[in-house]
Amino acid sequence: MEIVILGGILAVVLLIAIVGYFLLQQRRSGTIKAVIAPRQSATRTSDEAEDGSGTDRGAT
Amino acid sequence: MSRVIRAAELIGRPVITLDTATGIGEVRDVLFDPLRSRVVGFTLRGRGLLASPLLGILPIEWVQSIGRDAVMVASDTSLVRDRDGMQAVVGQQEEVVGKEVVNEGGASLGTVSDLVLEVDGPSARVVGYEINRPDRRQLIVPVSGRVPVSGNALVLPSDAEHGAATGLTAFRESLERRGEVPRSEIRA
Repeated sequence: MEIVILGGILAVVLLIAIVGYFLLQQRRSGTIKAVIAPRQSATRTSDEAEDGSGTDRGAT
Repeated sequence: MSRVIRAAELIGRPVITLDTATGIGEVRDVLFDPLRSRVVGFTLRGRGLLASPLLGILPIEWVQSIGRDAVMVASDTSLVRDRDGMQAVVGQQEEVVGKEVVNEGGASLGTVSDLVLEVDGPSARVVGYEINRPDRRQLIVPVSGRVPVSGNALVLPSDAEHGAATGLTAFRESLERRGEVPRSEIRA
């Protein structure tokens, strides 16, 4: 009986170790990324917003 | 002497300082500008399974040499570690591996599996994209200009498949014939 319990505990520990190993590898894995400069995003610039809507930018 | 390599070969390559010969980490991500077709930097991770998964960003301007077995930097101050500094160095990032590739005519060419770089000393430029075709073939298509990239896809010129090759050696020879890279060592 004790052997069965010990075997079960060992199996759980092994499973946790294997899952943990793969999670750590996943966390560290690298890839290739394209860098998109902020000005190339879809967000309108303040100049474009001023031309389109006449938004009051505040007196200076 | 320039070399033509796959970008994935740089992942995991150790980064070593010239001043103290210290390994400060290893390459985790390869960052490139798709509009200028140039590598702009690397993110670094610690060495070892339990080490930090992200140490900082190494801008390409601070790289002394991208060697066959290691990336050389002047010192560990070349690494940008703080969050604001990292944001200043790079903007939004889009992972390209697995991204769909379409040409200007609207035809799908496949999905990106890797980039092909010409490495010369401290700089690396993107000369091709390796694509997984729907028929499971892999093709390397040459790139020489802007490649728009979004969260959905990237767009290549309509004649992108002209000059394409299967395999790095054949691609390198194709580039040499067109005079885009000097006749040099082939690394397949």
